[in-house]
Amino acid sequence: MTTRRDALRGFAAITASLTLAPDEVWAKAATSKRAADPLLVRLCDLVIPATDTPGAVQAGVPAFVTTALQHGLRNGSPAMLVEFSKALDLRAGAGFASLPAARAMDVLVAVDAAAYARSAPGTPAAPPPDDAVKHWRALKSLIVLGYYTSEIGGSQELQYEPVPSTFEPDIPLSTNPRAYSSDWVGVKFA
Amino acid sequence: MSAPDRRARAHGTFDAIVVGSGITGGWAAKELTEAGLKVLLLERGRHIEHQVDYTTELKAPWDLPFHGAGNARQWAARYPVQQKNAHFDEWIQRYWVDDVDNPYVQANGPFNWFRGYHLGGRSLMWGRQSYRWSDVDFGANARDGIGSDWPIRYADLAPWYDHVEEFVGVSGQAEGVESLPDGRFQPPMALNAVEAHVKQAIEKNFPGRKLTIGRTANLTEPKAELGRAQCQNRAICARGCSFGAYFSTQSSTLPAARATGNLTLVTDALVEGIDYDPATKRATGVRVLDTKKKSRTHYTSKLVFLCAGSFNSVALLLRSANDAMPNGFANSSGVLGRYIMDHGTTLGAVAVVPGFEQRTYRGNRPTGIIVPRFVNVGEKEPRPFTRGYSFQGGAYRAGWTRGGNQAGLGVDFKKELRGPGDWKFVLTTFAECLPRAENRITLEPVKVDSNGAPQLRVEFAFGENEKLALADAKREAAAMLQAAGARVLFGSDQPNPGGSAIHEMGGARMGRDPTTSVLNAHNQTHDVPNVFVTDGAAMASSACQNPSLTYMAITARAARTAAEWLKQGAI
Repeated sequence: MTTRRDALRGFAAITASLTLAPDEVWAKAATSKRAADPLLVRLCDLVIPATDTPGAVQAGVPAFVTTALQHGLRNGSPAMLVEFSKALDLRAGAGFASLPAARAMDVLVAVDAAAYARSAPGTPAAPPPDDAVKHWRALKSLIVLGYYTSEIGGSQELQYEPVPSTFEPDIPLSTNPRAYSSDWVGVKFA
Repeated sequence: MSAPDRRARAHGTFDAIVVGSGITGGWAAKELTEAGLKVLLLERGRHIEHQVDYTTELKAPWDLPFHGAGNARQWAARYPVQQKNAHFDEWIQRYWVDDVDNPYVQANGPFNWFRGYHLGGRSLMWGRQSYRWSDVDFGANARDGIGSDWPIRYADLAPWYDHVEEFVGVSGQAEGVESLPDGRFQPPMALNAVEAHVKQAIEKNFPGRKLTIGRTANLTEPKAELGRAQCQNRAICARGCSFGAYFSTQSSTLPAARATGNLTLVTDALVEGIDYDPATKRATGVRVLDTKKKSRTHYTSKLVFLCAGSFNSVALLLRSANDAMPNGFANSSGVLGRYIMDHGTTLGAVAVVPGFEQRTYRGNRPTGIIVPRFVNVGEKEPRPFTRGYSFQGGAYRAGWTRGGNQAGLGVDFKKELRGPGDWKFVLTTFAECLPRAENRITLEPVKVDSNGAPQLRVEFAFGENEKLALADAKREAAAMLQAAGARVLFGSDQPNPGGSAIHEMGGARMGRDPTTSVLNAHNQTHDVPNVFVTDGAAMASSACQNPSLTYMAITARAARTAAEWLKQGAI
């Protein structure tokens, strides 16, 4: 006979295995081929598109952001993305993910400008931000994080040099500079 | 591997037992074994073998599940305190304690007790800044009457600073600064273009002040005898360095101690108490909990060296109370646990430095710069507080993370983030913390940790003197950077919570008077002649520079002295 205590014990064992090895659990989940969230694909493409190097979509950033939200990075959550999506659709007057690219960019530019605007002291208070503006900095910083810590962003778009061997303290900047994603101080304290 | 070390001689007898394998425990083990003593080194945490167990050392961000940023949910659940440490990340989270298993009580406001329980302790993750203290520091308590007079002066430690620097390998530049004595340095690391510019501006506009490269325990020349290569400028030291290029127990003191054939190392061995014989008034050994098997044993020895880390050495003395010493082991003075300190730290200034956009650097230098203390020493202008502060920091170009903090989208945004960002200059303030009786650690009467040991209760607050020093430092930091043409973005005079410097110290202070101090001039407890405490617990004042090199010097000095006395039959 299965008692409530047994059931709880079974549940506890499962959650214990999850809390003991969340990294391993995620690592398995990450390798499964889930369909990427179409909104995240659109956002990633608008923030960091493919140019002479692959962009955020090719670097797998939509899946990274999904996982990041599930695990609370930048105080995010899956619900944050839902709220953001609703507010964005309201602004767009339609489903944002299916808008023509140029129109989608216009909508997102307005959100981006409002999210990073700092009102000067003495100016009248800005209208209260909607959920799009409220959540954008967290979402954008996760896209940036996901891209420049991916192999594409970190070692193709930027340079990754794990063993510099020497320190060159003062060198001229090249005409087409590519920063080091492995400049840990510059990355940590930007 | 370490199988021979681990084969503990149960109930074994040794000349000396060293509790803790971090910076000071490693030094005590090295000096005592090299003096010919049979030494048992006890470490409460797991074994970490040099090179073999640095499992994240070579991982790129994309090799980690969260790309180095870590699982925020897991961190909130298991590392609510440790994650506040700026050095905490996904690569090295396993080197910091699980806060759920290792709770403590923060009695009056937050106190960040950042620590790691494993072989090598914080010597694996430390900041490596290695500074001598001067008589400005050792004479401070006597000079202004706050705290107990140090029973030693610079002259007592100078040869031991020489000794440890030569073994450790400290790179740095001799400068002839009174408050920061020069040492036996390996060649200094180089200043970058902006640091060289700011140095010039400070030294021209503020005569008597200096900016110099951080003196760091990273090799600029190899030490072949220990298989240590010179620094490869990766600046990922805290993951563990297979080149052995920075000083740690694993890279340096442990191999030296092992080479003597006199060392027995036991890990997963938490010392629960010190055994005491009231008839001889000597310690006879220690009681140990095997934290894996949950079994108990004991070891006997002629000498006991406590090197468990400031707070844990004090905790061990407190929980070793016995019928003869009901208020704590070697606590006839009643000051055990009192006069704890940590530097008052804050971000004194961060600035953008224009004019060097076409200059950059390559490689990751594992140290910054220091502006040694200039207030209340040298400069005659009186300040409205006693003691002083110093700055550490440096210049760098902002990395890609700036993209999360600025407007922009699309091709232009990506293009902007491809190159390095603005030159920034950071000055972090380290203010001396006065020793005060009300800042103290005690044992909780009921609450225990996952090993059943009483939890530590930390009562700590910064005082008016630290706040005045930090306010002065904020003004001076801005003035010096402005003199270099920099635009100051931000500056703070509010101290980070106690413990944030990871320089927690005091609690078993050295002193001349057995009624007001726990340890004498050789780190020997006044009450029990064969027990020594040589980690940060011994400190009677905090100075305003990093303490680890001084811990090493007093440990080496105490160990050699104790070994000598033991041979003479004096203890």
